Amino acid sequence: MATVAKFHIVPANFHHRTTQSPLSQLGFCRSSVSWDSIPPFSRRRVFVQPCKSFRTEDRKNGGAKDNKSTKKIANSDKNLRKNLLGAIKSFIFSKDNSVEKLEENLSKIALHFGRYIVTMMSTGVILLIGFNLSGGDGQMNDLIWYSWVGGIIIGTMIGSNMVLDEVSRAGPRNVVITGSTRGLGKALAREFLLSGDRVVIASRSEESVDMTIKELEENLQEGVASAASSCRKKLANAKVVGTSCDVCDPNDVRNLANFAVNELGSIDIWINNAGTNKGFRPLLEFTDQDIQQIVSTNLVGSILCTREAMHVMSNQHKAGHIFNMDGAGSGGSSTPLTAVYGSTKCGLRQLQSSLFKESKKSKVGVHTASPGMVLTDLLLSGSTIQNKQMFNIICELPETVARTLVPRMRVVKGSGKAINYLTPPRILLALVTAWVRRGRWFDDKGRALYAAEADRLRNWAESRTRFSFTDAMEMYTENTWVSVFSLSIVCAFIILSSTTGNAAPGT
Amino acid sequence: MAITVTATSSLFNFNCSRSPPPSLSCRPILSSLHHHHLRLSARKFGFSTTLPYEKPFISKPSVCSSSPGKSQPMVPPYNILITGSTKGIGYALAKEFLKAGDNVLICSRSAERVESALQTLRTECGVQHVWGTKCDVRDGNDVKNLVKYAQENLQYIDIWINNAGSNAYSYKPLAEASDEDLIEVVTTNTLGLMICCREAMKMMLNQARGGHIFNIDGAGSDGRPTPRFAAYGATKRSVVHLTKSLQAELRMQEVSNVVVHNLSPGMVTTDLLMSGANTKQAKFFINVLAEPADEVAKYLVPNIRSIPMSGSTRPTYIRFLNGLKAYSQIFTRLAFGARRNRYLVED
Repeated sequence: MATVAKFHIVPANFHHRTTQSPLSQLGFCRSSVSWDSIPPFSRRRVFVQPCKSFRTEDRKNGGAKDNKSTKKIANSDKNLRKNLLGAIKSFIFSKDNSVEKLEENLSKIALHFGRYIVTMMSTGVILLIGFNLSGGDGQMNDLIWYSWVGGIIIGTMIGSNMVLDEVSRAGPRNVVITGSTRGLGKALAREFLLSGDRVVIASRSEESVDMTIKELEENLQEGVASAASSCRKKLANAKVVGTSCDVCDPNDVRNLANFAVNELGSIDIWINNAGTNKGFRPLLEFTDQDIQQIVSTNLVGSILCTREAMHVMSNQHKAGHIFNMDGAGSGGSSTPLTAVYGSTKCGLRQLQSSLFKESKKSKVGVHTASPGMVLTDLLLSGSTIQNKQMFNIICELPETVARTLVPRMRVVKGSGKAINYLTPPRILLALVTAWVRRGRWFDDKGRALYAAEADRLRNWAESRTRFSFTDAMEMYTENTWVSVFSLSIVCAFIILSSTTGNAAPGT
Repeated sequence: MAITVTATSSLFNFNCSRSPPPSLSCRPILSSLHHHHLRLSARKFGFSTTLPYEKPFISKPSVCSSSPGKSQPMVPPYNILITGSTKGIGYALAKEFLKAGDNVLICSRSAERVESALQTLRTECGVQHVWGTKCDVRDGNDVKNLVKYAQENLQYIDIWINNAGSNAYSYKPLAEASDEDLIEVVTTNTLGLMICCREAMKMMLNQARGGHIFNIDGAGSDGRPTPRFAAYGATKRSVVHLTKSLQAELRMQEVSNVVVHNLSPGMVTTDLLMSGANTKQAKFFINVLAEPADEVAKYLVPNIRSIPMSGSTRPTYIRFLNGLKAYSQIFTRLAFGARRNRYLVED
């Protein structure tokens, strides 16, 4: 088992190389937060209102497209128009509504004002340093002024790009997740749902699909009930539907794709999450059926689903993204005791690179998502006490992983991206805190210490609101420092080049 | 990137030095593995801080042939089993092994093809050293029957070559591939190979002489993209990975006389390759890099036979077309125009 863990770690390093540049990642985090629950005090843009209208417009379009399919959507369409009008009204006559609204708006304005003051002050500090360095040389002062203006322009462009991106791509996504009645798939579905998306779940058994739909709908109700008013608007469009689908059966997969198109109109994100592993033991002890099931679910299923998703996405108006789930072995290191599972996952990684080449000119993006090690049945079935001791260190609950993956999946752009949970900083943290983490999930005897799913979710809902505040603070500083950083780089560059330029003729 | 890797491994080393004295089970690994496994063992130890007893749950194979007195040296003539060997590289390998004086068992999905291949091999090579049976590698029972057939006719198998592979003879983007093709490719290349490997290992663990299993790789096995035959590439990548995992499993079980190897024939001018020769790029590479199956077999067979001859139990990766060779051929083509229009007319 020790070796199995290793695979999760080393490949993760590799993945990291292919993720987006840190800058854009910051952007992602940022939008994720604004999109999650927005506490009244974290609203930090004047664009919030226009953004709302954008969103509603998007919904309206979406609704218009689906008109024929369901009455429900038509109803929501009407609601949305009302919302749209309301939003515009509140924007113009914000005093009309209530004191609460006014307060909200004021605090928003104050927040933005404060933000710009902080940004300008920090640029001013750099400007002063620049003047000090220049030593009163008029020519140099001009240069510094130019660089300051340049920095402001660059910073504004970066910031506005991020904002525009967020606005234009806001709105509910249509998501299909295979194998989503258990484990990570369910957690992903829930997270998408609570982000206001429309989710199609699929699994082999019809009963478990029905049960999961009911459960997720309850979660959604709770989410709506506990959310702030602004979030409620966001969640209005969220819905979950599902059908039974055996991913190894081409007809089933086709039905799933048709079902999703009929229900949602288009598919934005398709996640091939269905995967199976039949315990940890040498290949010799696997039966024919075991091997066949693993290969057909992991490899055949992913290939068929990817192809079907590509069909749908290339015929639709909007671009789409397909995610294949990584697992142990994706990075190419050996996976003894899970040889079959590992080699299918390794094959999938190669498939991903081929598909990336094939789909270069199309609007379909193929990506991988790596959840690292998640405490699900797949991992725990047939694991020993020793394994579980090791899981304490590196494993995470599915909800934790989903919370990290989903916001990044929602805003993914282009093709060939890798979205990983176990990034090097997280691995490092896990190793450093290994001692503390000893009894995190399992005790010495291998008994599970973590709460059952329902309890976990209850705690989760509470921590959601708490978390977003800290996240929002982080985002805020990031946003500021992007412009400050770009400015200081320009400053430093010009100062350095001009000093050396002046010094050269003197000596 | 390199930095992160070293950082991780040094961390593991650090853990290793702090770990309680390595448990007995790990000691032989440390002593038997030299530099090229050092990294791996270091990692292993890193985790052995939390996992001191790694051994107990790895069950030993029921019959371990390493028990003293039982093991026999492997001497020629060897008994060779090649799957999917009625045409292409499998057939060429069979012929070459026969020429070297070995006993060969061929098999394929179609009984007719097996029969006709048997007849030509018998007429060409004269003596009765070749057996054949129908076997669909995707079917566990078929493979079990194959093993039974081999044991009845040849008693034991020294070298088992997993050659059966398919690309459904179609080269097109995945979005256009048909259900049947995709399922056939994956089940033959991956599922069939896994079942064959399992049965071969089972059989060889019961043999006093042990055995060698060779898995044939293909385009994509190095992880590079294979557009137009994505499914094939993915399955071949999984083949190499399976070999690796099986090697690790056998090492864990301390089995030394059953060895799993990789075998890379490079590009061979078989139907499988030629059916994809419809783009300019493909034609260029086929002309520059591909070789007829007989040529490839002539190179591979002595290399394969040298492994049991030397008594080596180290896993190997025999490559016909190694990087240097490939690049020099591409260079001579670009520089001197060698091999232009060799098999196919380029425009």
